[in-house]
Amino acid sequence: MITQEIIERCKCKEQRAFKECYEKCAPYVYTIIKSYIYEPEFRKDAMQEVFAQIFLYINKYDSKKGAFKSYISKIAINQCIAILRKRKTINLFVPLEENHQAIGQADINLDRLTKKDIEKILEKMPDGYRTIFLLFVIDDYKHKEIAELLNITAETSRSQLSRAIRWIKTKQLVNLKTITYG
Amino acid sequence: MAKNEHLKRKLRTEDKLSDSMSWDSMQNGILNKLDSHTAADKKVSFYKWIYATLALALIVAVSILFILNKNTQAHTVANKNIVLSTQSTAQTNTLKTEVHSDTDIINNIDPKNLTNAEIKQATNHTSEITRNTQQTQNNNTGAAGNAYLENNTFTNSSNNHKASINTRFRATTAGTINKDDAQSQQAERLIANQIQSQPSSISMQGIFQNENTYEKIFSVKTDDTKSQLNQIPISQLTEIEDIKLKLINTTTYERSVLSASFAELDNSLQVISISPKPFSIEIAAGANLFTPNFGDSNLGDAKSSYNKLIPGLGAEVLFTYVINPKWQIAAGLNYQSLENKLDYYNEKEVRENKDVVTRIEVNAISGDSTHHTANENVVTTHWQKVVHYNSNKMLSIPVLLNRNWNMHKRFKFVTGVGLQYNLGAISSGKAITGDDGELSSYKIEDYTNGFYSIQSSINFLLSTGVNYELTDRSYLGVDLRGSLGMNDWSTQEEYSAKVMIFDSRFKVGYRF
Repeated sequence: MITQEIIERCKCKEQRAFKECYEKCAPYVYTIIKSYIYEPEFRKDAMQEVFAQIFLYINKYDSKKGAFKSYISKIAINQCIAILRKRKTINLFVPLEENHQAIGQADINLDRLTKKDIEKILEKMPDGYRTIFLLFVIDDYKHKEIAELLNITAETSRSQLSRAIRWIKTKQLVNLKTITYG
Repeated sequence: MAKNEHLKRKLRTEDKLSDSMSWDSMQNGILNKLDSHTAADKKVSFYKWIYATLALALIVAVSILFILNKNTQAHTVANKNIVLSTQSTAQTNTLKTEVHSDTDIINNIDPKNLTNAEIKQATNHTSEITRNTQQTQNNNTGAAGNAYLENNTFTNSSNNHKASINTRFRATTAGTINKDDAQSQQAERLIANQIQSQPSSISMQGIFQNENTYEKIFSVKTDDTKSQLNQIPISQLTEIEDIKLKLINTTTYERSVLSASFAELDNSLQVISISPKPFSIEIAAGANLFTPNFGDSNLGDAKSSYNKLIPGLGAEVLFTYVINPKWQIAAGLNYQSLENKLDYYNEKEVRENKDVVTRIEVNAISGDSTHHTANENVVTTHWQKVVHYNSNKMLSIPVLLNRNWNMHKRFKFVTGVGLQYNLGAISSGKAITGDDGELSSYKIEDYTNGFYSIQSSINFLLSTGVNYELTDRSYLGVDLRGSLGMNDWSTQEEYSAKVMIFDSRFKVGYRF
């Protein structure tokens, strides 16, 4: 993806290295941003902010502690959450849910759907549900980490994920059938 | 987790970027944001350096003052010896002048009129009263005068905040004073003129008795042009061997004038300087009320409305340097436990099986209707109570500029303004979530990342309090302090937290 040499040059604030780093990492970063932020007008600003932060704090990156991809992924997700917060689309006082079903084994039966179809479903999902769903299912965050990131309790994170999964399974069932079987 | 691999693959498959996302299009935006972030980081770094420099400067200044003060104390001891060495030359013919003059200067106290409280006060106030029962000896006027000059010179150079002037005379019984003595009348006029010519006023703060010694404490105010010395009717005093006039809160100039006045009046006057005590240490403990004071948005306002005040505990050690009798500068270390809770209700959706009306049939002829029901799984809304308890153990450095106001006798009113540098805190939180609106059954969860956090920050301080002087060296006091956060403590971007702390405490102080 990106070589250590480019990273070292970025640490020296070399603009040519910035360009190389951007060209290699931008598609991955954009994929993350696109999954969290569905309004195109915010995506460009998010991209710029994410790369500004990557370049600003690149001195703190230590290749021994993890892959560069994970590093930029964290920055991108944090930035997306910040943007969603600014737009107040994540309700911090989201209702809690008692029904804690087997969340860890949440198996979303979306095998037959294409990437585009899945994105369509996620687009219709409320931001709060989608954020926690993406964090837990796609980006492998633990509930404790989600709780710290969103400033909610781990219990709330679990219940929101449960509701998100139920939302997909029930409210979008008709759409899924339509998409799948035409 | 592995079951969702297909989803991860699909959602994280990289797409080709559009032209609007190319480096050329994004370059300016990224570099501008990079510059603004770098500038912000530098600003934070700059303030950290400023705070560190100020703290260092304060420590250095206090250290220098402390060293200078130690040198002054050494000088005091040397001068004391010179003053006391002049005692041996007293002239008997000064006795009458001395007593008679004191009669005019000090003529409004009748020991019979002293209250029990005053006597009791005096009994507790013996630490610095110099007992003197020796007979007045032959005195050399010139030598005594020199002694005063020397002492006044010392007083000027040492910037003393306290000094005492002892008038020593042979105790006699009432009625032995010759009020017609021409010399004493002349001296009386002299001191009256001298005192009244000074832009100061002298008011008595109390009379204290220690066995056969009476001590009268005065305060001198520079902002009052009316000069008046409370007077003791010495003719009514019996069995008195010593009277000490102790001046507190006087300027060097005022002490010099008064010393000179007494020197003219009484050749046998002895001036004994008390070592200056410009430092004090205070230990305080009390309770506080803390509010994060959320705001800046509807969400912030909503959060503020959930906030409930809970008392926390605090303690402080404060070192004070007396700049002059009115102004002091203080710095120390403050520990506070800040508590608050957010108390609100959450909407909760519960899915349950219920009989619901699925169809209504209406008889067209009779008009009767028939309701058909079915047991279905429906979602109903309930409210549940949620309580967040937040606790922060904060360590900070307060720096205060205090102004003293002498109220009455031993009471001193103190007001102050300053800043408090918060070093940080250990935060913890607890969320209690009820199954219903009453917390009849609930679950508790600990969390560490609250809605606000205390990082390196500055608070503005206002304080007010009253001190009660136990002795010359020790005092008790009560303080009220208000603290307003100058930095935003919020961990969220959509609302601010400009914290407020109200602190009340008891304190004990010791001067050294």
